[in-house]
Amino acid sequence: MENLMIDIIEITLPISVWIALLLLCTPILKRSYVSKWRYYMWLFVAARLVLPFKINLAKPITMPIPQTIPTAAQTPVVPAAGIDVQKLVTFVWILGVIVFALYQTAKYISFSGMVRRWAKNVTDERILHAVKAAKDFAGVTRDFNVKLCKVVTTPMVFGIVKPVLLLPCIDFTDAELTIVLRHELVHMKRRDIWYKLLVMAARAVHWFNPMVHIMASAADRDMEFACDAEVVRSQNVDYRRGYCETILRLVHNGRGRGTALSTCFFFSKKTVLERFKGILDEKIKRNGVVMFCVIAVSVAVSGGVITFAADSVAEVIEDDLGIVERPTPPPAPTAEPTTEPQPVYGDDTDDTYYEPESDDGADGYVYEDDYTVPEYEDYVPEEPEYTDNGVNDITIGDERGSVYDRLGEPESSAANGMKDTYSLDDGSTAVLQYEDGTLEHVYIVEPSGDDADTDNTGVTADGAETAEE
Amino acid sequence: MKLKKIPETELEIMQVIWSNPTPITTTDIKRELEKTRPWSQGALQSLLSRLAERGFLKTGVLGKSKTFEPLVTEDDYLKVESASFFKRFGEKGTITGLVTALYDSKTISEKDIEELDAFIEKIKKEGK
Repeated sequence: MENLMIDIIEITLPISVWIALLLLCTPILKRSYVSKWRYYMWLFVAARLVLPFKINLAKPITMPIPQTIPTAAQTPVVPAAGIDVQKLVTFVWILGVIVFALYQTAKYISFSGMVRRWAKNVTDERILHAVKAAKDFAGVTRDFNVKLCKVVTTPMVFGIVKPVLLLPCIDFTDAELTIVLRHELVHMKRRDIWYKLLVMAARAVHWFNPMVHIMASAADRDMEFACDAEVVRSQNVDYRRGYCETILRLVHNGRGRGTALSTCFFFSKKTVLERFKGILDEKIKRNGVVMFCVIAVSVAVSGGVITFAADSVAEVIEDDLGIVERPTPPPAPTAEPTTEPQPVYGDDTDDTYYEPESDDGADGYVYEDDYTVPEYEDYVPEEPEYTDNGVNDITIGDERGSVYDRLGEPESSAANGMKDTYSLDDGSTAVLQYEDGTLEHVYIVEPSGDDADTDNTGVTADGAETAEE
Repeated sequence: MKLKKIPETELEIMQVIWSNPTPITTTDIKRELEKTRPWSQGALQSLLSRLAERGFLKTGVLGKSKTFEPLVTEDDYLKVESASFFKRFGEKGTITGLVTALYDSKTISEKDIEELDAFIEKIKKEGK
C-alpha cells in the first residue's frame, strides 16, 4: 500500500511538468495544430495519471546513474523513521481520494435527481426530427432519450450509463436547433462523458496536485474547442457566425437566472471569446501526429524515469547511512607504524585530488595493498576543504627517511629537528612536522600569508583532520 | 414563508397545476395526470390536501367540485430548489463535471456579455 503512494508521487511529479509544458505551449499549438491534438493529449495524460504502472523501458535509458545525486541530501526519505510517516501520508491520500469520490458522486446523484424531477419527454415533432438529422450528422447510432428540462439553461448530454439529451425550455429556431443538437451529438459520439469521467478519476487520485485540476479545466475547454471544430468543419462563414450567435443566445439565457443549474464554471468570457475565434477560424491546421506520438511516448515513460532516479537516490542515501554507521572511516596508518613507506597522494603544487582508485602508478606513487578503495571514497566530499585551506594534500607517513627518499633533503630543518620545510614551485612552502620520526602534520604555507600558521589546517597522520593550533 | 422540497409525486401534480389555467378542479388534474400513467382518486385527493396544508395550494369551490390554485409560482419554487442544491455543492462549482453542455456559466457578468455581444456585432458587420 505504501508503495502505491510512492508510485503515485513518482507519476504526479513528472506528469505535472508535462502539464505545465503543454499549457505553456498551448498558444503555439493553437496557432498551428488542430484542437483535437490537445483534446487527445489531455486524454493521454489523464490515462497516464490514473494508471500508476512503471514502465521498465526507462531503465536502460537512464543508465548510468550518477554516483552522487546532488538532491540526495534534500530528499525527505528517511528510511528508519519514515515508515510511520509514509503510512500516515498514504492514509491521508486514500482519505482524500475517498472524500473526493464521495463528493462527486453525491453531486452527480443530486443533479441526476433534480433533472429527473424536472425533465419531460419531448413530444414536439420538429425537435425529434432535428435530433434524428443531428444523429446522422454525428454518426450516432444508439438510441437515447431527449428531454426538456427547466433546470438547465443550455443543451447538455447527461448520464454515464444511459445518456440523456437535455434541452432547456427555449424556443429554438430551426438553425439554432441544428447547431446545438449537432454539438451535443458530437459529444455523444465521442463519448465525452467517459472522457470526463477519466479526467475526474485522475483528479481524484491526484487530488493533492493543483496541476491536475488545472489540467482538468484545460481538458474541458479543449473538449469544447474540439467539438466546435468538428461541427463547423467544412462549413461556410455564415454557418460559423450562426454558431457563435447561438452560443451567445445561450449565454443570455443563462444570465441572471437563479432558477437554473449551470455548468462549466471554467467558461469565462475569455473562453467564450476564444471559442468564437476558434469557430470563425477557417485556417487548415496540422494534425501533428508525429509530435503527438513523440510527446505521448515521453509522457508514458516519464513516470518510469523518475522511478528509476528515485531508486538510485534511495541507494545513495542508504550508502550514506552505511558510511555514517561505519565506526572509523579510513585505516589508521599510525595505529600500526609499519616500516613501509606510506604513499603521498598527489604533488604538493597540484590542486588536483588524486583519486585513490586510480592506482595506475602514473603519478609515481605506488599504493599499498592494505589501502582499500571503499574507505577512500569516504574522503571524496572532504576534498574541497583541503584545497581551500591551502593544504594541498594529505601525507600519511611514518618515517622521515622515506620522505627524504621521495622528496629529497629538506631545504631547511628546524633547530629542534621537528620540522622540515620544502619550497614549492608556486612559491609556497611545505612544512612537514615530525614527532619521533613519525610524520605528524603536513601543511602548505602560502607565501603571502602573514598569519600563515592560523590559516593552515593540518592533517594528523592518523587521518583525523585538525586545525593547526 | 419557508418552502420545503416537494416530493416527486406531489411535484407531478404541481407541474400539472402550474401548466394549466387555474383554478383547476380535481377531475381536470386527474385527467391531465393520467396522460402519463393511471392515478387513484383517493391518493390524488390526499396529496392535494397535503400540498394545500404546506402552503403550496389555495383551495376553492366551483359548483360541486373542489378547485386548486397555486400560491407559489413554478419559477419561485425552482429558485428555492436550485438554491438548496447550490448551498450543498457550492455556488461556484460546476453542477457536475459529468455533463457535456453546449455552453453555460453562472459566473459571467453583464459587462462580459456586452463584450461578447459587441464581438458578434462586429463579425456580423464584417460579413456584410
